[in-house]
Amino acid sequence: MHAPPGQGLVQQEAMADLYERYWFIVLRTIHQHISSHEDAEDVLLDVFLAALESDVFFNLVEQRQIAWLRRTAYNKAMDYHRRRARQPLLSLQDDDETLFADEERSPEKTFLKREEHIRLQSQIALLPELQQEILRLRFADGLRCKEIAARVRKNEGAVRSMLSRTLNGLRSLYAKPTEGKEYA
Amino acid sequence: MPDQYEPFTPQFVDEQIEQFMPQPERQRQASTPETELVKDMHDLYREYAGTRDRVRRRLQEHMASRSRAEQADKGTVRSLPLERQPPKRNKNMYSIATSPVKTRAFKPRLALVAATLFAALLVVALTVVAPFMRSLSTQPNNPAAANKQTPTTVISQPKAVYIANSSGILKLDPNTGTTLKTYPWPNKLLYSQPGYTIEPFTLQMSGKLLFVGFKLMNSSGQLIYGGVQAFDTSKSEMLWDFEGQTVQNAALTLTNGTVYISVDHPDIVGRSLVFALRATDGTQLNNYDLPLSIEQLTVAGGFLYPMGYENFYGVNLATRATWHITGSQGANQGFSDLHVVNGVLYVSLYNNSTGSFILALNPATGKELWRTRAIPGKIFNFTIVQNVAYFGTDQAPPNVSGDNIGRFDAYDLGQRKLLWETAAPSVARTYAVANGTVYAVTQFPYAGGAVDPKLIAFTANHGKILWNITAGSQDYSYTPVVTNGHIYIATSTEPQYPGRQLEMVNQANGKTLWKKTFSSQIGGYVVVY
Repeated sequence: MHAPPGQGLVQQEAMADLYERYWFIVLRTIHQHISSHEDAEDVLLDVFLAALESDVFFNLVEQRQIAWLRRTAYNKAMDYHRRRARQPLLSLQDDDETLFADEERSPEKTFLKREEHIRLQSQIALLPELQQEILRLRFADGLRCKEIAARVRKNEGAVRSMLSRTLNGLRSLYAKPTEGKEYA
Repeated sequence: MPDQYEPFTPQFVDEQIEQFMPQPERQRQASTPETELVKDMHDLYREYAGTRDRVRRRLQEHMASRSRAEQADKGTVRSLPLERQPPKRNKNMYSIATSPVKTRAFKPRLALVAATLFAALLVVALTVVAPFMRSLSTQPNNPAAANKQTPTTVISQPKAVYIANSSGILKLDPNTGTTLKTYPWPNKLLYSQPGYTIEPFTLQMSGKLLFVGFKLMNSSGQLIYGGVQAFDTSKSEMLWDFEGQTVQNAALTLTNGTVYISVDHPDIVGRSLVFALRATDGTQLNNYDLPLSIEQLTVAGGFLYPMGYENFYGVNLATRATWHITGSQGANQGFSDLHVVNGVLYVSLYNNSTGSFILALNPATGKELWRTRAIPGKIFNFTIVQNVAYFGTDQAPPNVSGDNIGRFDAYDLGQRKLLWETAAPSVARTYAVANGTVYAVTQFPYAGGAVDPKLIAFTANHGKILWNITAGSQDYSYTPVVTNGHIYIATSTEPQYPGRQLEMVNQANGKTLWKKTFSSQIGGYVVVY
């Protein structure tokens, strides 16, 4: 797409802004269809490049832009599966347990850890978007509650309560079951 | 029975997460559900964060190459992005290395090259020799004062107080706080976009000119630009402005008629660009591409000192030769403040396990001359007056009971010994010194702290606290300005509206003489005589 003079910079700013706000939503959409981190990363880039090159994307209102990104993420994920069906590749991630000899990375430990991550990931996916966003800002961006409150435009106390409640809830995944009981 | 134990509490959730975080240096923690959870959350989100950063970089590179292609069509070519070389960590808290500063590779036309060469020869002839000779001398040089020197008392009557906030630059009556005039921000394209806000972060003065360092935020509260606006107080008019792309950090400093502003590198995460601008008209004189995220910028004695938490650089402005030291790496540690006094560069450095040090360095080479003994707690900021360093830390002296969670210290840099220490309600962040009294503004060291910010007056000789009032801001470090008998300090009464008030207090007893509330947070203030 050739932007009119002067519009290029504005579009780049808008894209940088959009990326910061929606990368996680798009990545999550992709991860619903692609489990490999490396491949999901490539698809994530493809989605935002497609938006940058699109003739219509920047004329959409924000809600439509999000919908566009999600739809494109889905389409790109499907493209990925079509390509993969034609050219099967062995993902390094699928096989990485063979690369490490130390006990912490033994195949069994790696498998169990991955299972744990999948369980945690699926539990997080069930949380409301705001709670997911707060977790992301805390653990991915390393922000403290006060900074998170400013980002999500909520009262700091509310963020603190929500974060502690969420963590206490997720912690139950790790609590050892007592005799005769099984935890979800 | 389900596990009802809830280790995460709203009040301390940040600290609890840090406590349960995997720490390789510490002894292996016992595995509990909460440590497992925090570890897994970190692992999981670290993967996400890695993905986010890599895709962001690839996207930026794509956009940058597209810009280059567009600009090449117009006859100009931007530099290619440089790959960051992560600094190596040294076991001895910091390491030192020297290398030339990378310059941005412009490709101007031939005529421009010739003109630039000629100009460069002139500049080199005028500027190289002095700093070079200084660096060779065994005598410490006496560089121009760094901009962050603690303000001292001024006897003459102030004519005006200028503040900067999101409305623009406001001129106030120094005796009543009444707004005399508002000079709004220029009505430029991005500034006037709906929802965009200008947030000043510093206001500095050189001669009759005021310079406001600002950040332009979009409607989502994200940083778009770091910029500087110049204002002529004698003509009461905005002179020029400058914008640089930034996503996180911007810092500004002034020296010898030049404004230095640092912004994030537009193409590479973790690098910064420093632009040198002529103060009178904003003409770009130079730029420096540095491999760190700059938190603080200082210029003194012909050297530029950009400081990040983990890396600290010295750049010879004339030759671009550079040295750097690497500090303690990790959350809440590393370099925190610096001053250049009497030809010695003093830097404070904090390490979680050993405490703080003030290092005395050769300003031209970064070589350590000496260091204080380990000081308990973290030094956030310090000041130097008559060869005595005053600082606060977040650790009260032993056997102090009550609400004091901090300490004031005075350290004689000439004799290299601690003069005194005294308990403080929280941690000193900014200082002013007048007539044998140190005025310090304290903050609680961590977000959500229970102790209000305080303006505290204590004697420079013994550290005896004379008076203290609730003033300053928990969210922003405002420096007190002391004039003849008065102190100006920005303050917050309501935590959700930080820094919206400016007050003048009596220097003798801290009583408020007037207080004025503004519509947005004060980014800085200066008193004009």
